[in-house]
Amino acid sequence: MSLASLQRRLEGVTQLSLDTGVFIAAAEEKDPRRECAAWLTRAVEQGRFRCTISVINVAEILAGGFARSVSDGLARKGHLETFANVTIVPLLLDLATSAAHVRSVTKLPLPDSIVLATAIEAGCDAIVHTDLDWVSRAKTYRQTIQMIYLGDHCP
Amino acid sequence: MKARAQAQTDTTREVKLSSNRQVGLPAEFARELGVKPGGKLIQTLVRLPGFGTVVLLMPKPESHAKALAALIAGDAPEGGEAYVRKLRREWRKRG
Repeated sequence: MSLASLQRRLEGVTQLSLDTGVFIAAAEEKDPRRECAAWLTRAVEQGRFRCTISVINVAEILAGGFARSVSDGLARKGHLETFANVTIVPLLLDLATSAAHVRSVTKLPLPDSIVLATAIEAGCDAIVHTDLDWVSRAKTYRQTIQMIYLGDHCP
Repeated sequence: MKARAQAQTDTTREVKLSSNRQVGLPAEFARELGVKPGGKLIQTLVRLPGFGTVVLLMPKPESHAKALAALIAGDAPEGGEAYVRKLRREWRKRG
């Protein structure tokens, strides 16, 4: 299991979603999944994938920034909004409805359900996540979207 | 003169918006940012409840992925998986 295994798993995928944990893992020196996560974010930036993320992901990434300083939070927002090949999807009524349905089917917490519903509604081929609970709870959606647990490839 | 003196410090400048909404970037600020004429900058606007509206100006990095990672580094020494789980548990907390 390695970066090569993740790359093989993503063959044929052009549009994907990255959950917050991927962005965090890409940044943290000691995170064992850093190499894979950093490859994913760079691959999006370089145009290998088009990426859709939820405003929930944005809020989670910005939370750590604003906890440090307003300028840190602002800078993160600026980078996310201008990140090549990334689309940030707002939470509007139709998506909120889908997320509530995903929650009822999967019993995943609401933020996870919003993130997953965003990827499904955006027509993503795959979502890369870092939560082992998704593997069992969200299996209903495996025919709709490939759910790729980062730890399966970069433990 | 006093107001002008107060607005001119090493890190804060009062600038005037031109008729076509342009402002000048002081040479010292451009030097600090590492940008030259023709270089690209990113402006981001944020409405902060209770604080007003703020615009941040920063140099366009070679890689947003790397620049973002550099900012995030240190948020989650416990790793991405545990950090996100902790954040999402906050939704279940009651006041």
